[in-house]
Amino acid sequence: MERQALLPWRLAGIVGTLVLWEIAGRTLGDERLAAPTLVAVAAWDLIAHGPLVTELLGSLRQLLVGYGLACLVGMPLGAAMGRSRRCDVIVHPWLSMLVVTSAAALVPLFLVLFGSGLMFRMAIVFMASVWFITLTTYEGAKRIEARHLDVARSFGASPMQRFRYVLLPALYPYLLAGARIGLIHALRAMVMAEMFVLVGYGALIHQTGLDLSTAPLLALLVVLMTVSLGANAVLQRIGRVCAPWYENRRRAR
Amino acid sequence: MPHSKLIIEDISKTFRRDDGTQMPVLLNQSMEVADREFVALLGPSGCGKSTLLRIINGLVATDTGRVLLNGKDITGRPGEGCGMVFQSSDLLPWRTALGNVEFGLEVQGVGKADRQRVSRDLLRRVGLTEFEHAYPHQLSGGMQQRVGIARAFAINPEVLLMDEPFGALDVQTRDDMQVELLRLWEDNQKTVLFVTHGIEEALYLADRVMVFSPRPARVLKVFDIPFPRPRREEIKTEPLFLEMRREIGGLLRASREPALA
Repeated sequence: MERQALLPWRLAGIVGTLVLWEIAGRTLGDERLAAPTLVAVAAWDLIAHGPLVTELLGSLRQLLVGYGLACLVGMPLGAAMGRSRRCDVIVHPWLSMLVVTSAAALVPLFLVLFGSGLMFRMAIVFMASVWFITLTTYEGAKRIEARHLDVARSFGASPMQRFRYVLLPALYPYLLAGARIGLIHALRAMVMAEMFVLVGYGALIHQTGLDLSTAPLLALLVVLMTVSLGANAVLQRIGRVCAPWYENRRRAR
Repeated sequence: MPHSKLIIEDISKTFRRDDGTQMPVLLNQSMEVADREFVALLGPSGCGKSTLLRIINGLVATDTGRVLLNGKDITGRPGEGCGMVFQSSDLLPWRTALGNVEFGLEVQGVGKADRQRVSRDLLRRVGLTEFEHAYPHQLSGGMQQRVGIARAFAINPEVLLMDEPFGALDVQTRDDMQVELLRLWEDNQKTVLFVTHGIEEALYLADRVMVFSPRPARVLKVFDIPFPRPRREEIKTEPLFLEMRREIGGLLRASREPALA
């Protein structure tokens, strides 16, 4: 169905859920589950007067360092694994093990290794996202078609030109997909790590959880989800602008 | 032939199968092609004629022998005067039609204005002016192969190598493309090596048809095609055409028989 034809259903889904939540909230009381109307008020209050924005920005700044490093390491590593059999057999066992390891399980070890400061949070964010970025790039690099590389060679392209004109554009959609998956894992790991060492947005959630009312806590969660969705949408948008052939091709199928 | 454009000397190729056994594909093949000659390499699918074309282009390393273009050794060196049209056009999906035609010139470092001028002119000649911004997935199979041909013409190659370029198209489109290819070629005559398994296609297009045996490929017989240029489609029903068609068909069938027994 067309996007526009589905719009009323989309809205009905959101509104319906909010109504159910409101009823549940009023029945249970705000010390157990605050209703969305109360959550909205609490969110406004936290954004306008509380520490929400400062803590969030502080956390995101540190997240970007760990996540940025994960992209810088994961993308070339995944590409190298996808193009070189040797690199693949060396790295793959470790990649397979680490990608299924929960970042939370690494917290005790990382606390010992890095203490509880900036390094710790960066390391957790890095570990939580780098393997997904590597794996997605790897899948893309494996799927680069030999016939496209043959075309480039046939026209006399040097290895550097083949990288620039074939490998990079063919990898592009996978790099973006990896970046998006990685970012979501990075955001999750960030809050999780902060709750262990009680700093930043994670600490805010932890402390607010001790409040009598659940309204501010739920407000913090809603804001976090909105930020994650927003970041995801921005990356998706970048992908659509930079690789129109890919989006069009998917729609054509 | 005193002025051979392209000389192929003693080319052999053996591939190794996955189980380690050897599969000879080409055995001591030699041929000479004159300037502006249109030669069809005709043979059953998978006989090794495509491999020969890829060796000439330098995409596949040969085990023995060498390839000379204007007397210069170009063995194993792609991009030296040969332009290739690939079997299923193999356009780069992230480039528009125009971008694909520009590709070879971009690799050669030609400036943007120049390569766009050349590419637009070629797109016009293959009738795709309105589609220059279209991506390959938005084009039909015939249109894609037109872009593929324009891409090969764009670098103004001395030799045009065509690897079953119309094999994946439906019959009607294939016939149209043959007419169009001849029109392009007559405007800008190049030396052409055209790999095909269609007898009619080979007879209609070429000055000379080399008929290959099944793997390992060797030339069974060479036919000089007497029909005048520019070729008209009507020759396909002339008695001589039909007679040659029958003879080549018989030759190919006879060469297949031992394999069946």
